[in-house]
Amino acid sequence: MEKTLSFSLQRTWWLLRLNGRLSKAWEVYWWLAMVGLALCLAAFRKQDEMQTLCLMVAGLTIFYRLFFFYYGLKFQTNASYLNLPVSKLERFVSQLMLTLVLGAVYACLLVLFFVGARNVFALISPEYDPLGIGDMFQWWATVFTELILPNDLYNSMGGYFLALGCLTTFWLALVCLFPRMLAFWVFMACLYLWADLRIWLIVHTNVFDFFKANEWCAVCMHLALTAFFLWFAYRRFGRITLKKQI
Amino acid sequence: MRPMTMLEMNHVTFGYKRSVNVLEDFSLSLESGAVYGLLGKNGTGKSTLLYLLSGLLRAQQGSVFFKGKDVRRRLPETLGDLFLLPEELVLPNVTLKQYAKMYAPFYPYFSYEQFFRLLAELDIDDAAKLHSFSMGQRKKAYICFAIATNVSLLLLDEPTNGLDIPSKSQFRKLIASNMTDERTIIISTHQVRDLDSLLDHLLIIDGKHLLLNDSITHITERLCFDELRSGEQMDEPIVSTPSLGGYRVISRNTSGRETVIDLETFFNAVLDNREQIINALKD
Repeated sequence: MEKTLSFSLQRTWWLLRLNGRLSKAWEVYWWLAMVGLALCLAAFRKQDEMQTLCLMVAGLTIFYRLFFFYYGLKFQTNASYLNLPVSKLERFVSQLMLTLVLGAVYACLLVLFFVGARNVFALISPEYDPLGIGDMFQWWATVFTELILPNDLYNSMGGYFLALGCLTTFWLALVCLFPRMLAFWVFMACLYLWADLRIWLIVHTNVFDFFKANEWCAVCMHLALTAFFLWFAYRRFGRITLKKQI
Repeated sequence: MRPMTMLEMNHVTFGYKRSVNVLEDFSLSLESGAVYGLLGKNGTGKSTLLYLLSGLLRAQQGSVFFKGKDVRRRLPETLGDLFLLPEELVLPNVTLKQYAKMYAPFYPYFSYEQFFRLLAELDIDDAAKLHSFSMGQRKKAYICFAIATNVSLLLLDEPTNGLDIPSKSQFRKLIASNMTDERTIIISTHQVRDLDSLLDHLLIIDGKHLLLNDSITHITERLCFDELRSGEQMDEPIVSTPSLGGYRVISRNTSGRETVIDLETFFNAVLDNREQIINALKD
């Protein structure tokens, strides 16, 4: 029993290392694409020349990076990768760990970057910032902290990581459900819908006030959602086939 | 000593769409210590069969057992003892040394020494990145990796595609010199001429069914393969196909003569004159 467990842990570690090596590039690109999306959202909501330019750059970033994203996913639906001698659970655990770790790291970096940039520009006198770049960073920092991540949960670090875990697990589930490109579009669509839904909820209901006042409810809700997606993703993992590839 | 049954496929039915079956009530039993040639026309299910044998696809009906274990369970110990070389390779942009370091730990019998020796034999630079290789070089490198895993079952899907003429000959040598009694190799191909000297068993499939499953020794015991010049005659040939300057002929081996199998003619004969060939092999 101990030997079996030890082999299993070894395989999980090897797979985590392998996935890290394979995913490193494309996951960075994916998170960059998310920045692009955030920029798009920001630009749509505050049209001016500079932000139209940003919209173009962001759009280009998305499409350019999509290629690499597609490339990364090709590994995970490739016969030699799928036929690696690891169990479904080991595969799932290593994927989940990697996604969570990378997701958390990149998301923190992004938030830090935008918030940091905003703070730097806040120090600069407006007369030295005729293009209003400081305002832009202010806007993007808001987008990141309020639009994509729920601000009520964002205020507490535990809640923030739960939200992030939920998001990445959701992503993982989608990759299992829809191999290749479709997962990306479905995820992006859901992200966008989520952002809009939040605005609608804030405007028309007091649901966020409720969660703000009852943080444990929010935590439980996210835990339940995460558990659901974990279960869902686990079930799907065994069913990936190469139907489309052969 | 009687060879051990390594793979058993029982009444397998599989289709990508419910209404169209690629394989139907397909049964097969493969023994260890043999190189099987899986031949068939394009789209007849050769790759599908390999993917079913490796557990990557699941049969709608029937079962596949590798060393007595159901491949659909995809147990690490089962997957660690078989290796599938797909037709299209997706490899990361790392050096071969790094590649081996990343992938080899999964295979308990992997030999680094053997891997680097095979690479050296094929003149492949193990310090160069995989994306700087041509398709043929990548394939050769991957074949070296597959052999160095020392698994019991090697499934090679069109391994000679993309290889130049010297590499095809190197490939044959590589397989022949690394063959053991405990190992089974299945090579799927439609380029029969590349492998005629390598195979010791033939599996020919066509449209859902197994047309032929026989050893080369048995085939050449029962049949003679000759090339006749124009004007030359032979009594009762089973198959006669025109070639440059004459005919390729398959006839019953009534004299106990030993001839070298002409895989291309034999393959076409099985497709076109199956009954006659099967009867000749049975007699």
